[in-house]
Amino acid sequence: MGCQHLDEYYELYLLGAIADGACLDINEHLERECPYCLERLREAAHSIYLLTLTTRPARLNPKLKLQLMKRLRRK
Amino acid sequence: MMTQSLTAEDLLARVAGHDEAALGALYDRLAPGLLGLILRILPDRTVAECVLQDVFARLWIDARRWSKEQVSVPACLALLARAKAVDRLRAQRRLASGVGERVNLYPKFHSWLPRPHEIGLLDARCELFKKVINQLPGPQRQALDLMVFSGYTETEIAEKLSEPLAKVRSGLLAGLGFIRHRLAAVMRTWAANI
Repeated sequence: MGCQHLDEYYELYLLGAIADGACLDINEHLERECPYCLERLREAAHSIYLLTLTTRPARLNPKLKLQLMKRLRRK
Repeated sequence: MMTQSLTAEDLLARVAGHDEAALGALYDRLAPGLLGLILRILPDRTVAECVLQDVFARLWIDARRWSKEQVSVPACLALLARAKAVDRLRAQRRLASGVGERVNLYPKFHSWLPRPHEIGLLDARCELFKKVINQLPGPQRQALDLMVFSGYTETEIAEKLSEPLAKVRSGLLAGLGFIRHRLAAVMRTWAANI
């Protein structure tokens, strides 16, 4: 089956916002490395990445980095 | 060695060799933006900081694989941070209401992630992109906001707004189509009217 029926769903797929049916179709295409789906998904990822950049950076608690490093040393 | 001059991907390669200084440098560079994103989804700071730590713990574990896959570190971490925050938010909702959809938030295949060379261009176009978002009609922006930052599925958005699913879906698709179309213009220009 072609990919045109999936054309509008790539962003929704990456955002985890669509029903299982369309997800399964896209997963199936990705598993066989469908070049069309990969390209469209990459374009969709650009949009989603830019959406994540619309939030303001937050001030970090300096203790957090130390806690993270301690946690990683235990792993 | 000074880490300021290294790219995020250079640092990732070092993190793959369990270089703590490289992880610290990536943290200094990317954590403020990631925490801002997580806080937009999970306003409780303690919970948000916990998710931020999970994101960097995952980076520590998966750095070797991500480095081989040549993914953009900022994009990979931003999408992972959103996915983990939304996952946590949905779990809280399920706990509170007993209902809520489980969906796959972070596909296991990474070949679709933006490449490092694309990220500089995307970062540089961020302000133009914000203008694009502001051009969306109010209801479409509201639905998009609910999906991106409140982690609702299209079905849940329809319930929340008391609108038919078909209407919500067509609004979301129109909004995302608009963004896609405008993004192509944004990527080709610096300051033109978009």
